[in-house]
Amino acid sequence: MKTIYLDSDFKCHSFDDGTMTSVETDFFDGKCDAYIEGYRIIPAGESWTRSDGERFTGEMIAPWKPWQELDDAQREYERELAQALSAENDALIADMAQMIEEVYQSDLEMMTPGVSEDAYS
Amino acid sequence: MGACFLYGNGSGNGLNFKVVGGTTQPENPKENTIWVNTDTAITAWVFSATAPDSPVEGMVWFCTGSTSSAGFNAVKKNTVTLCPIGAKLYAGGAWTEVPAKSFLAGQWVDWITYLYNLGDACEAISGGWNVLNYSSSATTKLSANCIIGDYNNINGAHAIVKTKNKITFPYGNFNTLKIVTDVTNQINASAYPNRFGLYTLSGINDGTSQGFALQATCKEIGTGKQYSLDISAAKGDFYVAWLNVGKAKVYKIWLE
Repeated sequence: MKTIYLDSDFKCHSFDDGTMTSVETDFFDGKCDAYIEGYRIIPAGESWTRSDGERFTGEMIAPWKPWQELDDAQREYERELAQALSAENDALIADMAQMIEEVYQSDLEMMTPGVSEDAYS
Repeated sequence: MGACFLYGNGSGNGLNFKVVGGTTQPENPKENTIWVNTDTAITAWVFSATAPDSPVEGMVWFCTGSTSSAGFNAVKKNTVTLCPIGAKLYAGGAWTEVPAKSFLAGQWVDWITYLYNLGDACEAISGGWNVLNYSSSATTKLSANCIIGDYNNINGAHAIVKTKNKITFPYGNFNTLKIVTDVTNQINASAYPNRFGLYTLSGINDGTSQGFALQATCKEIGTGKQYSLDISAAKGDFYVAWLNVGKAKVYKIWLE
């Protein structure tokens, strides 16, 4: 569930400029700001009249920017997110390898004091 | 011929059609008669893809597109094809949509494109309709007169009813998707309302807005409720879909 902010034309924004109305919706879960800000939400109980006179009542969620453009932005966002996660994963694996190496070296140092325990038996 | 512009205030010499206003469908109409269902006197008419700059009271604007269910040749000599996709009446200083039909090939033709109409799956555009029931308790089905959705149990019972074809939008010059539905009950309507719209998944969703790129809820209890969705910015390939949660019927889904 996300909080979205609507201007006077019911266009969606990710941040409130102090004049906007907030709405909660699950429609934009996982969506990037560029996708969200191409949409218009008419909340339940409200209505909006298009420039040709057609009137729409809420709840309606529809883009005012060409949807393909918004979908492209979302796909790019998901690609970048996947790359960032992959890089983070690589860094974690490298850290773990380093940690294992350090433990191994530490163990080696403890196991090779120059004289084995058997020498005292 | 989408940008064609033609103005008049009568049938006129050389024109191959006649505009008739009234609330009663004309009897014995001639071919290419255009009936505008209104009780306002029509003082002028315009065929144009865009709204006239200087409308006068009583003017009817016939919006034209590149395709139409009611395309016709407007002149007696030569060929000027007009593709009407909507009619608006200028009254009280504003444009208001009015129903219009054309008498073509011996029958009245609506200026809209149906995707589903009283049991007709409108396969030419929809490819037919798929009913995807989420659970075995589902009973959603296509019937002779409507799509019937019927779920009385509480948890997770829903269905997606969607076109088999993905439709490329914009489709013609249509910019509104409409539905007429009866809703008898809704299960948890605030979280799981009935919805319709443009859908991107080939399978069923989780009963929420998942998969809908555009949607309008249609959850008001009652009969013959009409809902509209602005599809003017829908650019891409989509299924048209209805999500049912509860007991409801759909009679018509169409583009205007």
